[in-house]
Amino acid sequence: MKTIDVKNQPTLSLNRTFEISLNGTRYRLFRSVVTVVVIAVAIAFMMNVVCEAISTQAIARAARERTAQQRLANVWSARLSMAATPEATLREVAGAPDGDPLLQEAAKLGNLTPARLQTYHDNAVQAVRYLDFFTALPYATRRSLVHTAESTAVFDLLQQSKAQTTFNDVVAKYKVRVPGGTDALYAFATVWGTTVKGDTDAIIAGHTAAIATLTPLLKGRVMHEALVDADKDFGAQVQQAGFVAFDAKTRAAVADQARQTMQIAFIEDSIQHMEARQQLASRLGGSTIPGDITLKLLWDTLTDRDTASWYLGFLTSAPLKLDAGGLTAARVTELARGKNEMGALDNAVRLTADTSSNARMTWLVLVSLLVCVVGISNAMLMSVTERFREIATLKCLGALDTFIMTLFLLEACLLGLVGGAIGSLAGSIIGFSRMLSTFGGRMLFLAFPVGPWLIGMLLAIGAGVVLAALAGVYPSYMAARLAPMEAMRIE
Amino acid sequence: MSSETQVSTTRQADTDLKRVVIRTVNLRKIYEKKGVITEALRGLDTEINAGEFIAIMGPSGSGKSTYFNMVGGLDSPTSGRVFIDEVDVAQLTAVELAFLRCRKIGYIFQQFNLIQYMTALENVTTPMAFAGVGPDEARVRGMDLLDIVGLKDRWSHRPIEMSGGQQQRVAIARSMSNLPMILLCDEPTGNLDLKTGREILDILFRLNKERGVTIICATHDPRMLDLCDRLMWIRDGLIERVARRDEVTIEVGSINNELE
Repeated sequence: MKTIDVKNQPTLSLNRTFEISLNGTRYRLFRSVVTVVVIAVAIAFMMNVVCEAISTQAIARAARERTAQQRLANVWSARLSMAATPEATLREVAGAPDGDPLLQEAAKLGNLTPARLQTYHDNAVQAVRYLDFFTALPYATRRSLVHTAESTAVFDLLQQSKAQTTFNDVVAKYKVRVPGGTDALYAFATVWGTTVKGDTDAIIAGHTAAIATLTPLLKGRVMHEALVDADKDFGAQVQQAGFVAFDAKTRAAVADQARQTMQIAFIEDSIQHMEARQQLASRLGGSTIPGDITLKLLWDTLTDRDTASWYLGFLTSAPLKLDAGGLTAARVTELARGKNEMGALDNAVRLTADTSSNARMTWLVLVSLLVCVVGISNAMLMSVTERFREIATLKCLGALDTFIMTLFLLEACLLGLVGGAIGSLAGSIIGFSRMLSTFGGRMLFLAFPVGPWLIGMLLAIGAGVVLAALAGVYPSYMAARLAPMEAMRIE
Repeated sequence: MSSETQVSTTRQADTDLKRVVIRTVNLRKIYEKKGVITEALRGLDTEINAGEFIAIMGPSGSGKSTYFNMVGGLDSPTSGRVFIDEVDVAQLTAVELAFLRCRKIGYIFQQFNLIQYMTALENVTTPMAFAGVGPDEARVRGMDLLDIVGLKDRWSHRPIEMSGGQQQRVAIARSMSNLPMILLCDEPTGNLDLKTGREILDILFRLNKERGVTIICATHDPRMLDLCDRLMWIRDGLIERVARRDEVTIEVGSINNELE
């Protein structure tokens, strides 16, 4: 039997294949556009979900960070005025990363060596884990397990073998899952009794002693007022008294915030004066009476620079002659705007309160991905199956199976790319405008998640290309493998 | 390589008419769809010589299209063998089949089957691209082929802008693009009116006589009788009769009866 010399049956260059593919796509423009639109809609849906999820998370994070920063003065005011509970001390140490000044402070106050501090830190982490476990338990279970013991008293209780027996029974009965097992918990309770409790008490004692040394420095003021001087001598003296973590940077921030708090209080207190109210009401004109002046109205009015200047002038001159403490009109306006921003932040914190669980987001993304798979594969299947005759004809003309596959792969990738790009852009626009209307422009601008958004875009476009390629290549592979006449007969 | 060898083969074919290019041995094809079994071919033994113009006749459903597909390597037989130029088609791999379809056989269909998004010239040059001919050479050769079928000035038209006859002529030019030794035509005039059908048949006849291309034509068209060298009747999946044209013209009456 003769054989055929197939050496010179070349595979068509990718370039030429792409040309043919583009040619065909352009010719069937309407069909291609329909396919692209279906892909774009599917991808837009997914991108919309992704966009809302990432911006909600970013905003939640940013809002918490900013509100946490703004609480710094309050936190230090509390730390410097009263001794912490054992649980608060444990949580503070456990939450501090290695090298955090708070750890050095704990070491200094509790008089611990570095090695002992390290052990204490590890134990604190362990303790917090158990404390969280007990906090999360339903009340009835908790009561059965440890009776009325609260907080660290649980560890004191669980050192007793009688309490452990009860605990074991209840664990078995209610099928409670203790992290690390009950034995590890008892072992920790023992460690707690021997070292951790002592160290915690030492830290608290040191803390109380340090607070006592601060009293003469206050010169009769409350701590919050005194903190206005945190970036001056007072701050340095506090640090020397044992509060190592009260370093220059923290002092500057705390002083700044304390000053701000005082200034806000000054402005807000000013409307307690009847004269100020009357003046404001007459300036606002219309039907405003002194009794209408609320804090919100006051701050809204003060966002205007001229009004702020006038109001400050009124307060400092006769008849009130209040001491504004170096407050300027510009600063008042700034505070007024800051007040509005705080409102937005509080709003954001409230709105994003339930986004901490990722399960909902994952579920939504999965559902939208499923929509993509179904939509895209349907569109591609349609556009390939209606071209079986063309595949058969190309095979009659001597096309290799690989050529047909490449042709359809290229076309699918092209449609997927265009559809994915349009879809992800449209989805982003819709997603972000919804977020814009929910959180406001300033908040979104502050926390705009550029990195995750770009990654999301790329992933969405990639999903479009891959899904379109899979959904387009599979039927064309089936068609290419058939004998030409069988492919034609399928129609 | 291809064009020169092709030319020498066809010349040789002129001198030696008895060289067999297509041979089928006990060819059978059974279609099965949803449990209904249709026996389209029931054991065909045929031989077709190089340079012959052969017409395959038979009523619809007789199996002539199936025979045509088997011979062209477009479908695989249930049993039996097809030899094209002494090569057993069943033994070929997918790539070898593509090679065979690309260079040894040209196809002409009743529905023309042009690629809708390509111009006439692109349709003609696509098989050349599959055979590895460079774009410039393909363009020149494509224009020559369009000239032969009389469509040189319409090279840039898409199929949708052409009449049926013109489309079929492009299809003929396309089938000749790699100078095949065999042209398979499945009812080439079936979708055309009398006059354009006549033109198509003239072109086929010229290709057969001037270039020595073996033409196998499944047809209902009685005018084919004037052109072909041999006729083959298929009925119910079997060869009913094979005759040379000179034998047939004597019995024109009966043939006309059969065509009715």
